Amino acid sequence: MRVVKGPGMRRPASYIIAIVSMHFMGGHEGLAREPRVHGFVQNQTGVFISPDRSATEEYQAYPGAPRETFPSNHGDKLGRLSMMRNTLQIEADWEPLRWLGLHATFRGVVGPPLAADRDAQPPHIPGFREAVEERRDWVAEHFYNQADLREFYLDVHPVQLWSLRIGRQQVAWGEAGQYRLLDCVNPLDSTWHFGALESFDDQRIPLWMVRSLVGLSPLFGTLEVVWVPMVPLIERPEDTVTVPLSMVGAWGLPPAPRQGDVSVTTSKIRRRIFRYPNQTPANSRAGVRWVGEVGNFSYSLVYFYGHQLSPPIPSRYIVGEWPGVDVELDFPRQHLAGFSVQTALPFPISTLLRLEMLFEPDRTYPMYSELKKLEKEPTSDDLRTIARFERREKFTLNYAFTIQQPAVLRLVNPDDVVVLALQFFHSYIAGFRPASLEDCASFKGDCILEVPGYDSTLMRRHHFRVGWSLFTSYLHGMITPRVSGAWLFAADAWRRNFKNGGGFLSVGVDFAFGRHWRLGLAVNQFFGDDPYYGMGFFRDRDEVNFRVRYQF
Amino acid sequence: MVRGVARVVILVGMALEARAEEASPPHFLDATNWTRTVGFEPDLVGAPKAGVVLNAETMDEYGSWLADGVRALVRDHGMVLDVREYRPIHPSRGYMESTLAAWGRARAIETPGAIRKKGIADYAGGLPFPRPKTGLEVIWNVFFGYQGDDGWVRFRVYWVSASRGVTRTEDWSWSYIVRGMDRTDLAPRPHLSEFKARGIRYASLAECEAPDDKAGTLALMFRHDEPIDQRGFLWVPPMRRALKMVFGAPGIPWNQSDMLFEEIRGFSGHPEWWDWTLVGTRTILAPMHADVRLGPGETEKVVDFGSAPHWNPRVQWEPRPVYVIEGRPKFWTSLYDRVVLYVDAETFLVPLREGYGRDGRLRKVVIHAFNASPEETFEPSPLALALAVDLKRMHATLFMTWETKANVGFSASDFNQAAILRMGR
Repeated sequence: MRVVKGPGMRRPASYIIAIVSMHFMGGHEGLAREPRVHGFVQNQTGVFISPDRSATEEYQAYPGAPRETFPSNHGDKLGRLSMMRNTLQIEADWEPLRWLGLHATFRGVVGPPLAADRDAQPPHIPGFREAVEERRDWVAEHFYNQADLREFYLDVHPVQLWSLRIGRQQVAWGEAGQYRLLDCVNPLDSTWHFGALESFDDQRIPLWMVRSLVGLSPLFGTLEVVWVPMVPLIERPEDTVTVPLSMVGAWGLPPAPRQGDVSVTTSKIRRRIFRYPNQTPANSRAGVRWVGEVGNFSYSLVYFYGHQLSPPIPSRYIVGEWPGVDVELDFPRQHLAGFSVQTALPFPISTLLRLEMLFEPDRTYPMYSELKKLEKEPTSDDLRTIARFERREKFTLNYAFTIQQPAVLRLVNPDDVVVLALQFFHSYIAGFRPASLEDCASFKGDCILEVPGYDSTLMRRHHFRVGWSLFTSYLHGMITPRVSGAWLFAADAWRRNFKNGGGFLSVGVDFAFGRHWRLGLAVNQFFGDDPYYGMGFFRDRDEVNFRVRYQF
Repeated sequence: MVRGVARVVILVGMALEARAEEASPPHFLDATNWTRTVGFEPDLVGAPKAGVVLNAETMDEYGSWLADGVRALVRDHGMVLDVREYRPIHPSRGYMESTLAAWGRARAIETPGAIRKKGIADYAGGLPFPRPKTGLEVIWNVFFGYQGDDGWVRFRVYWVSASRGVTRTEDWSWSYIVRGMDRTDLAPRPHLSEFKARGIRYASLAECEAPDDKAGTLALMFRHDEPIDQRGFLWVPPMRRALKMVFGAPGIPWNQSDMLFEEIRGFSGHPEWWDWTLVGTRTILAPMHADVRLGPGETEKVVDFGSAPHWNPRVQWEPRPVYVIEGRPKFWTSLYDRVVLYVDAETFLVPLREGYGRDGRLRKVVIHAFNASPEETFEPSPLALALAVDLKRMHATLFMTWETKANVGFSASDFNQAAILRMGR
């Protein structure tokens, strides 16, 4: 072999080899992959450590109302279980052909009923603090014990530029981390623990859908189209929306305190009737995302047309020949649009900035529960009185800004980086007319609520939150201490006695032993000045949480 | 007087002739002249013969044939070297063709104190600096050394404690395009147009296959023509998102291992991030034809996991011509005061590397053992195993290749966000 200086020699054989190999190898997937099965068995146990679950305080539900005594601490007594979740998860991947793959994830969960679930508000159990056993068992049966083929999809990659994923799956858009803004496709089930302490991957309810990806390298971008057809028979309607937190007690919302005399409180409700989106093509959801890069900036543009996954919005109020009232709730249609931008700063080295913004042009808000319009008077044929709850559609803007800084701090950790992430979240409701509870009683202003049925959660024009996370690892990843938390500011403390908002702090350490064993220990503290607003709903559910996992 | 002038004229003439010879390209490049044309041949006088076994007892006789770091591992930590005969290595035909075509064009630019200023100009392909004269030229030869145009490797990583043995393992696969620009072996040549448009020289996509808590992690990384941070995306399975990330700032370990990003394959990063000095040339033992049989469980047979310090591989070492260069980091984040690279003078691969801590003591020894190329006219020498030993922590990380293939034929669309979104689970 000899190379002579001059124009490059034509090497047809090499070109043929290259072209043929490109066609048949087709990228990473062209290289043989053996079938893979992996998973884990895990026990996660939490114990409440707040000293006095039975603490109460006088609570004034609205100005002028008599002060009454309500539980001011939530959760359960010191030493009682906050959770116990035994999980078997198995994932399998098989690629019978170079352009065809199959993935399945099975998750089986077993957990005992918890005493704290006496506060659960199942749809069909009337009142409050009655039928305690039935409530606990219902929660355990519906949320703590599951056998679920969580994900089951086919990957088809027939040509280099285009791929399809068909089946039950998760799609996560956006990069905001702790906050779900553009992550709008899958609903959540965070009934077993406080959502911010668990990964969204575990909380998302997978949906049957079709996802198409077209990689357009010349444009430095990727077009992603998602269609959720709402498959009848296979998909349960309740799995297509986020599980309301009123349905559980240990990590759900405490029963609403007594409110106005004509308000709809927990104690008055006989039955909640959820009008889940029908499994029909007309109810299908669809969205599109363009992901691209311009220089040092990565960005995405998102549009999605779906349902408002949370919270359910009260629609009708029904009184009949039975004690209490029936309340119907539905999940309105919604347009979502937004974008995200990520970039890395040259200085300080490795600094990452992320901005994610979501526009909700027609977000539906529930209103103060006293606000209803009569829809039907009782008749001799139908003794029901039906009223329609008021609701408002508002243009809402949400954005989250994140700064992530991996830093070499040899004094703190001589061998590995220390990672700090800070997040700022702001939500703004356009055209909002502030209202006090007095205003609401006289039908003035936008008496919209954060949590339906909880008149104590009167919405504000602006919402601010900050979140943070700090972690590093020692001994080559064997020990990973971490601190994370968030604080929700109360902008109008003067209005509702909630002085300084609320938040949580989680201090934990993870251990990795060998290839199989993983342990985690965390102390989680919750703060909130008002026990019936914001993070106050979770206050004093302080717990120690322990996790042991054997993975294979 | 006349005789003196004549002597000066002759000397000047010889110098000019030598310089002209160096500057002018050779008439041809092939396996017969590659070594002496671009590097130098090993000095084998007194070298240990094939079949010699070097260990703590026998090493004194051949101490000068060992790099300092290797000497420390043999003397203090029980490593054993099996010596084989020297075998020359040459790159692919396409690479030699490019080297010849671009001969003498590249210029190395010193960038003292600057980390974002480009340290090379007019690079046009192949080996930029045949017969390098400075440390900077040597490291640019490493940067542009022959590794094929792309490749794929599947490997297992072992975290090894000198006292407790193997503490953890992970399985990874890694695809990469070494040359997004100035390609030598595969079509399209000379550039992948998408990479050229974005100034991307190198792209890699690593996927963790096991264990379960990391399975599905994907790291897509780009190295640009300009000395900007190596950035890309990390697919985090618990988040199901591709987050933009910066990879490989000096001093940062790869995946909590003893191997820093900058130490992968001997040198990984931008030459502009260090100040380089050519210490000299030597002939030392290095594992460039390691003769390791690859495969799950097969590669591991060369490592003595059972005896302390549990990380010693036993492979074939041969006398190799090397450039010894020293790098002093410009980044304050660096773990080291200085690093020493033993750069193979034929392949410009880095089989041996040492890192010296802020206290001046030898802290890290990194060994990359290569097997013979399966087809030298078209493929580079495959990496068989890598070992990073942290002598301060008495801990090591072993990377054992199970399967590898070079010049696979990847395209730019295998290394973009669509790929990571498609593969993400």
